[in-house]
Amino acid sequence: MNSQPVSFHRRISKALADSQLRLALGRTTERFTAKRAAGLASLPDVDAVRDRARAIRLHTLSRLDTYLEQFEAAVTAAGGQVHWAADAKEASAIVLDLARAQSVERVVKSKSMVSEEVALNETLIGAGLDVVESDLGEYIIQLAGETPSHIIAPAVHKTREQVGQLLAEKLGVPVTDDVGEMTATARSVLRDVFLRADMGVSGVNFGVAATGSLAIVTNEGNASLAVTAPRIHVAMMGIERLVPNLDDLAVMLQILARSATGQKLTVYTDLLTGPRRGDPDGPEELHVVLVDNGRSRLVGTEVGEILACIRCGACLNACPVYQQIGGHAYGSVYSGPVGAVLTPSLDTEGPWGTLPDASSLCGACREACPVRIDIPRMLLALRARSVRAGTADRAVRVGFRLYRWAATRPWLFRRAVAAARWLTELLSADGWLHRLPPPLSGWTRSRDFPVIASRTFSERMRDRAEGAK
Amino acid sequence: MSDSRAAILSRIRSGRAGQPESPAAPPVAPVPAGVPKTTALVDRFVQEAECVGAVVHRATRDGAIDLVGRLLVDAGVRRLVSWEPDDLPIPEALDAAVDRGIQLVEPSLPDGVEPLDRDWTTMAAADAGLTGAAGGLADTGTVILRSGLGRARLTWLLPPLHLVLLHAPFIYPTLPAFISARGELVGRSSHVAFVTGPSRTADIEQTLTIGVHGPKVVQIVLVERDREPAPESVAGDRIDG
Ligand code: SF4
Repeated sequence: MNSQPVSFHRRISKALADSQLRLALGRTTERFTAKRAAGLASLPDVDAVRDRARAIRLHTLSRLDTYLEQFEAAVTAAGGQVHWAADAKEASAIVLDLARAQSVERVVKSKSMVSEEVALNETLIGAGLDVVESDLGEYIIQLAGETPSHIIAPAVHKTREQVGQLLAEKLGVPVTDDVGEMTATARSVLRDVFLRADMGVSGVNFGVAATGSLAIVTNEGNASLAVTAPRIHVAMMGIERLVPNLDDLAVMLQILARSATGQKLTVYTDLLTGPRRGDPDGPEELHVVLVDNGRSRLVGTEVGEILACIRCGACLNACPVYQQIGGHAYGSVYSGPVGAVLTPSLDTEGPWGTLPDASSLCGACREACPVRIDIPRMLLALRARSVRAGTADRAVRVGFRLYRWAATRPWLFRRAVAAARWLTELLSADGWLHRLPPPLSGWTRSRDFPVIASRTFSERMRDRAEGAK
Repeated sequence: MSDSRAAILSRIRSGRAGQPESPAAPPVAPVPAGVPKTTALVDRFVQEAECVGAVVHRATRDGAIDLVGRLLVDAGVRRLVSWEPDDLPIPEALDAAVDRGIQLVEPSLPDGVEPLDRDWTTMAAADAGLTGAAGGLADTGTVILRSGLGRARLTWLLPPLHLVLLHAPFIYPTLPAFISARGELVGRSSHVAFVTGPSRTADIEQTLTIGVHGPKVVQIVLVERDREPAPESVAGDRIDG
């Protein structure tokens, strides 16, 4: 995963100061949230379906090794080939080797978070291949030389005016702020890309262990074209993205689109089983790359539940922190609540120690999640882990150690509170402290600190007890 | 590479070791409470399909033969790419369209072409694609298409207009209902597509735009065996004007 040198706090400040970004985010997350609610409401007995979806995912993870072997056998029986990649480097190398062995020059991609995660484009482009993203949002950010900022709406951070400018600059078309015109431009440019590509690279929404089928969904139809026109289809999938059988798949598909965009079903929901078999079109070869990259280590751990994620993006839209800072401030491929758990868990060596702090633990993500993943619980577990590992902020570690020392000695604690009350009253004019000196300045960088109450909780309880006598 | 396979599986197994043993199968779906009557299913299908931006024309079998050609002519279609007649629910519809002056380009792609010489340009130049659905889903307005010998996938993907024939009795209440009744189709075709309305995107500021990569227009000719040809339902008024 690509790490960013700039500190998390600096990225947050930058995001908050970007008025265009906040305009774009505000317009989008609000619409997403409203549509998701309506979409889920359209499913009779939605709670039962969510429970079942969760049970299916957790069951699959509990026997992931067996289902992976079953899946591999089924893909092979259908005429496809399965490749196992332990890490990002191996995943990219597998795809590059396939491309080289088949003299591939042009690659068309449909949106795949896993390929972002393993930085596939860098590898392929570095080797001289022509790689084009075909999802409209991905295409836009590829033109801009940026990275996605949302799981299902990668260009959510851009306003229409910015996109119009970008297309004019890069493609030489007239500037417009008409979204229809922009879309038509992209359609005609990308049409050619699909038809001339030698290899199509896609992600996978779900793999079906029993049949070896791949479920791939897009609204634009770009994945359908990318896996049909080129002679080779390479599907990149995380090892956790399996369901046992087609009945389970149907349940997951019913809930995926509703949670992601509020649609009842994604426009193109493709089930692919092996390469073409005497069909007039479709790929001659199908390669499935199973990517681990840190996932297998999570099985059975306190953050293992995050592997149940179906990448719908609902928790991003629901998160008050994401709504304010957007995806890029997280600095990682996966952003929002799911990213704050997944990124430090997959990439334990990376600079992600503070990512789990980017949450108010309000629980909106758990509420929004179609498979009811308990993200707040895992964020707490990760915070605790970073304190234990000594990677948490030094001021935080020392502060909490001091607090524990004082709080377990009542006489000392009472005196300390009295002193703090006297001091905070002295320093504050309006009941709040807006700036504290270091090392406490970390707190007031993004929030105010209240003056200590004139009577503490235990003092008030004692008063009540005495009054009752 | 096989090293990675072994390493991945063994890491998963050691993670599983401390966990309680799980049941061998995932939970089973509750039995759906009663299947709606066919007429209700068909009405629901029409309503949902129109909701996602498809255009539905209801017709009898005889009416549909003629209707396909009329719809194509009305849409200004000159070149048509189609599945083989035998793969269409109403094979005669193709001839009837050709009789109206529609030009048929390569019903399917040439077989035996060298991989590097693939050329989709004739197909990409077609104004419309004609296919037949293996099923429909009432609660989402979806048509189900499956690839096969005479059934090129690009037919429903490349042209700006996709015209699909659907037999009303093939409509299932939901996706899970279709899968439990006809799931074996998924293994038999290498591509089974569930298509719900025309291609769309909302990638720029969540502004809905139709026809980004796939068809801009999806027209469904819904064939109902015993339907009386009611004037408003054959959509004649939308065509001859
Ligand atoms: S954690 Fe849940 S809500 Fe968030 S993307 Fe994953 S499945 Fe969706």
